[in-house]
Amino acid sequence: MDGNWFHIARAEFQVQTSGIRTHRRIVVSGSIVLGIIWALLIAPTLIGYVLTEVLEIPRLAVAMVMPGLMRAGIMFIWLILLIPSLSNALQEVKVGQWEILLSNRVKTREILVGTFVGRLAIYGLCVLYLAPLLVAPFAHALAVSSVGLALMYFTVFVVTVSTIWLSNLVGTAIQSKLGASSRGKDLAKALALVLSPVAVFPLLGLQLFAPMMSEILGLDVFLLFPFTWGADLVTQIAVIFNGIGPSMEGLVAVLGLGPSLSLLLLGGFSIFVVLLGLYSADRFFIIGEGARTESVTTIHRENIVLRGVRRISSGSFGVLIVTGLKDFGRKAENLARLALLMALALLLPFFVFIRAGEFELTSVAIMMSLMLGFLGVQVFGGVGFLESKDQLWTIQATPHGVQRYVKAKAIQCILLIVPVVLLPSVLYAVVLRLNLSRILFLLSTSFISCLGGAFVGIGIAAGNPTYEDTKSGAYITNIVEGMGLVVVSSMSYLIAGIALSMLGFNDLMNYIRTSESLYILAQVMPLPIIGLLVILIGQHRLSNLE
Amino acid sequence: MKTENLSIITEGLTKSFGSVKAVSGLNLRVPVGTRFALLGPNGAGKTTTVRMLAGLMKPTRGSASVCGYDIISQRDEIKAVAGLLPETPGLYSKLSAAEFLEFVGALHHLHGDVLHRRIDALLSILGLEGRQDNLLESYSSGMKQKVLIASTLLHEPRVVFLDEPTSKLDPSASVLVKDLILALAEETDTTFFICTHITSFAQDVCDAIGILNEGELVTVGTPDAVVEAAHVRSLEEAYLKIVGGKIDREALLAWR
Repeated sequence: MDGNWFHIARAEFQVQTSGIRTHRRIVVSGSIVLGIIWALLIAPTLIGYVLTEVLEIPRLAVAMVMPGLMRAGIMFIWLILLIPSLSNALQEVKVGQWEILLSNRVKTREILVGTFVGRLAIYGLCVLYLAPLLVAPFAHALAVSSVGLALMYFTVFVVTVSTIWLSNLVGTAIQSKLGASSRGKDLAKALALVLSPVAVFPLLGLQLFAPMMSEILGLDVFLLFPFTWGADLVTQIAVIFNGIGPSMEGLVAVLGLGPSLSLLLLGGFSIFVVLLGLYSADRFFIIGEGARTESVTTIHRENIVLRGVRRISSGSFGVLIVTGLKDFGRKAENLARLALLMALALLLPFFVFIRAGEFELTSVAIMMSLMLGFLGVQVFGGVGFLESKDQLWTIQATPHGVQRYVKAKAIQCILLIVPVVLLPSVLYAVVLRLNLSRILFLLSTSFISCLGGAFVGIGIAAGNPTYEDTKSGAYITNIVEGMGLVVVSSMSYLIAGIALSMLGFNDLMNYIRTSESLYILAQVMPLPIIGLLVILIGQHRLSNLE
Repeated sequence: MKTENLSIITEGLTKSFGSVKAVSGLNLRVPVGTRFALLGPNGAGKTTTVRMLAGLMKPTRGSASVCGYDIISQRDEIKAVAGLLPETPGLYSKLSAAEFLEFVGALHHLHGDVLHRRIDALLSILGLEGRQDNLLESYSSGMKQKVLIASTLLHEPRVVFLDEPTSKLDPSASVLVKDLILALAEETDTTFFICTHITSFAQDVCDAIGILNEGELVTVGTPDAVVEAAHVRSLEEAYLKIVGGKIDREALLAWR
């Protein structure tokens, strides 16, 4: 490496700190100094004061929960550092940037090291400010010396740095493979979407089933994970440098590993991932000229569903629906969202099944409606609405183009939502042993809730299009607005109930409460009504002139 | 000049974005069947002018009509008779060329055999018949531009706004587009309003030229008249004389 990594690191750092570019040096160096003071002086004193003087929690009680809480905390840091950054890397395959780098004879290893170092400052700062919240209470409870405190922070820092490196390594390796074609980029986006559930669900499962697995394996399964080694080492350092008396012997029995073994495993793992990255870059994965050969996809005959839509709506509007469905269905990211929606919708009946006897139609219908509303916003709003501003020009340049486009999008949602809600509703029906009329009722409420959420999502995206940009403030605002509207609509019945009671219409509310169907409908119906209003407002805004 | 023979009329057309005046007091009269080129450097206001005339952007001041329709109150009527080729391609990456054209045709209320016949014919003229079922994500920028040109002509517009139509095309494709414009203008009385940087293209294709600089129309006339008025030998020289931008050799190498 002949220094190229440094230029890449500087550029990456400038990108990471673009928000404070006018005062970058002062803000970053000031934050580092303040962070060190916070970590070594302010946090231990402040947290110690709150624990002992305000909350009056005995030191020993805090010390007792340390091993478990430390493991959970470090696992959380691990996930937070690993998944979002990996997901971001997959969302944004930087082929354009690679072209510039490669035209300057830069090696993959230099890209790997440069992006890692560039990100280190910001992630490091986050750790500097957040780690004391985890470490300081225990350091205070055990009266850990300054050397011990510094070693505890250093261990957290090593865990953090090795995790960032690992995330950067995996992200770069996947990008080098998936950046090869537009299909690959599409798959990368889909992978980014399902990454969190795929990574989080097994860990949650691990938490639930750890005792059973430990029995089978004959050891604590958590000892197999690097975050456990880091967490245990922090706990062990706290005990070694403690000022109140607990000894190491008892702790080893609780944790399963001694401090030297924890240190060895954590150190070994960190060195291993660093060497793995340095060795494998330019050998097993290369960001190079040969990687991005474009593949050509040829479309074939339309499937039976699309032909059916054309037959039912044979005019130009039918063409708009069919082309919209094709565009949606060919993006792996959209399919991943849809699959995720279905998987989450299926999780609820499973939950209901294992907690049999605690649920009935009302709670299931309301719960499912709320969740499907959220998912409708997520899947059909945001990025799936329009790819670019230029696409919007094309649509706006046609007579009533925007109105017809939005209407076609709404109909596409109806066609896509039907199969998604059908399966979980039927599963519920089986689990709850519902009759046919109730199955149809549950199916209808699920459908209108998901559609209501989709209308909210589309309406907000139409009013404030963010195109394919998932990192902009506008995109986040849209998602928050959409979620907020679903929550507000779910509370409409409650708000209306209070208002009507104050106005003396108690009888009406009582009448609604006595009928199960009316009660469910009163809870579920506001969302599609709000959705319709939002989509009309969005359509109007989108067709407005600049 | 009678207004019924005019395809485009602008009177004091102005567009400001905050304190920046993109187009300032534009007065233009473009007769039916004319091939009008709006020349100008980057940021001169060409694209803004086209967007206002196509009914996509509201002027800050002034008025304009296209085919007799007012650009503010009769936007949908303008969109029905006009075609717009945007500066950058806004294609659907996951649709094939044929599917994308079917989509644009449907936005113009076209469907069935008429639409499919036009799609096949336009793709064949533009040399894309063998690739029409490939997804647009695999197209080169020139091929994408051809698809966009086809989408602009699909509904047989009476006025066509072309924003940099040949900037991404190879020489033979540029000639093809030139011939297509000439044939349509002569045979069907279609009016072409073309924004371009390429003076040779404007000279070969257009019978009227306007040069826009910093939002203001600085000259307008036939290509020969513009060259003559500038006392130079070619349109490129006239453009450089009017707009500026010619730098001597010493200055060009001063960065070293």
